[in-house]
Amino acid sequence: MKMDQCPDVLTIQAVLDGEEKSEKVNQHIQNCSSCRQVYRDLSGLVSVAERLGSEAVLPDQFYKTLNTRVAAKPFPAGLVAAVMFLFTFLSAYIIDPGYIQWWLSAGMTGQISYVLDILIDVLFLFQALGSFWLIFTVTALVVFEVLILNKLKVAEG
Amino acid sequence: MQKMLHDMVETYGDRIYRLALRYTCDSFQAQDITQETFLRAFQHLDRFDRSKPAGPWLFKIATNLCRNWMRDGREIPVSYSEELNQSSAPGPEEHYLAKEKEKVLVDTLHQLPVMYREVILLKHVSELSYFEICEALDLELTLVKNRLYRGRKMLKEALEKQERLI
Repeated sequence: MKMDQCPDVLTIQAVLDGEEKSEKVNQHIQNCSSCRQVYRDLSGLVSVAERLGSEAVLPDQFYKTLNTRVAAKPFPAGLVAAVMFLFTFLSAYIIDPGYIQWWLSAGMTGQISYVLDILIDVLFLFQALGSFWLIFTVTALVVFEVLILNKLKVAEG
Repeated sequence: MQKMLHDMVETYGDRIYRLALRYTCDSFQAQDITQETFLRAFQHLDRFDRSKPAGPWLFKIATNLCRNWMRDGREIPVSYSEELNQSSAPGPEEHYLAKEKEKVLVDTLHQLPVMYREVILLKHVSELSYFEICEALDLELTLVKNRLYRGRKMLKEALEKQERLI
């Protein structure tokens, strides 16, 4: 079966790139002088772009280095969380030794603190963020938590 | 998991490296981008649909890393890496001329708008099919064909202009 119309330039390009396998189109290009000219012009464009092809290969030690990075110990989230908790705890104690006692005994304050701590733990556990943003988010949450506690301390007397 | 990573590096490592090498023209930067590509892939293997080939997904990560590298305003080094094309002619003069021609070609490529440059690199350096380019760049097939056609045309015309100037 013959094609009535000449294929567009993108279809001829697809033939040249080995992406268009239609027998009809291929036969048409072979038998049509204007399509053959388009094909030749496109071949010129392709041959220039093909000069970009390279035979460079990764160095031998590439996989070894990658494997070392993959096997590297995960970010010590638990340790950082413990240090941050201790830091907050000690800061609170230094600011006001009675604060710790109040913190432990406060009802509402304790609940808010509990929710925020869970959020921090979840962030650490899932490590959904990169190290920098993880530390940034947790620090922001700790600051937010301390501010809220401070407000509530004032409100609760 | 490690076996899967190893297979990915075996199949796609060199092609991703070549892509990064054409973007950065620096073998150390290119190795770094390739390492980062596989590291990110490994970290997010759970997001990858294992019923599909890994190629387009890996090239999507690599292309994004290359885009970030360019966005950071990194400059292409004046002296091109020896590794850019290891099939250079044997004699010193031929080797020099081949390297000069390659430098002009890569310079010209880097003058093209990114959207054309990306499809040309994925097609001719990473040897991806139209379908794989569509997947890697999240583009419609017609758009890929169009950009490839226009990009190749622009590259040839710009190169001829450069060579006339030289």
